[in-house]
Amino acid sequence: MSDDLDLMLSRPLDEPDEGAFSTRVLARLRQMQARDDRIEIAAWVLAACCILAILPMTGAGRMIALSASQLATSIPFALGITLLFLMRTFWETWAEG
Amino acid sequence: MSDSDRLAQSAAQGNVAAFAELVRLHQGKLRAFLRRMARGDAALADDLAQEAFLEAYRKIAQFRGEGSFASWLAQIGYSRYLMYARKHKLESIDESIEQSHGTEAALHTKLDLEAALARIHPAKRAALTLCFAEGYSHEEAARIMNIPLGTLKSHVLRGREEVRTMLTAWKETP
Repeated sequence: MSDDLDLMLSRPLDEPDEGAFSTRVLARLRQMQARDDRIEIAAWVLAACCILAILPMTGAGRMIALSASQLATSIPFALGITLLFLMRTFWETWAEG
Repeated sequence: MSDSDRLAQSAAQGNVAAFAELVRLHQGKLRAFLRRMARGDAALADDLAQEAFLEAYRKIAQFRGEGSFASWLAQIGYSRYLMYARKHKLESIDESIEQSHGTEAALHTKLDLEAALARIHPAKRAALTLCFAEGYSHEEAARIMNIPLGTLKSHVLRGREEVRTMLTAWKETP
């Protein structure tokens, strides 16, 4: 029985007909590649958009922050703003008067 | 280096035609193995084989040629089968196979063997199929199934004993 069983077990498996199996696999493969390509393109577009959107804002933000800190410590600027404020107040008072 | 190894190298460099040739060369063997694992469910076996080939394409660069391409592919296919079996609890249908066998009085020997193989644990079924029908060495079969060599040998011995017991019992049944 044991020898018979080993012979039976050793019989090669019946391979199914090829049919359209390979064609289906390759079709799925192309679909997969097309999807991967679309994802890659989308990722590049997104990255480009992020760079375009963030980089100029970062530059502008830095410029504004730098200017603000310089102006905040500038005595002539502070005197100028005070003078403008006083002149505006004077004109408003005189115009109403 | 075999033809399949050369084709695999070419496919790893993006040659889709080379991979198509690999599919054509190896589809029969893989589908046959998975059909036995899926206990004759041809549609399921083909779905698993298709997924295995797609995974093989994605991972083709990882194929180092340490074993044969066929064994590497069988490893992916078996892994796919195990994932599916775990997800869908395939072993629960063992009872239906057991019940249906008694109603078929005179089965052909080959069908008896398939029925007996269908009733044993999938790991034992895989071990017997790989070592006998597919002709892999114990070491290769252990690598395909990702189990220790000792475990593989145990599966082969116990699986063969279980099949032998079933076949003997069925023969003695009037």
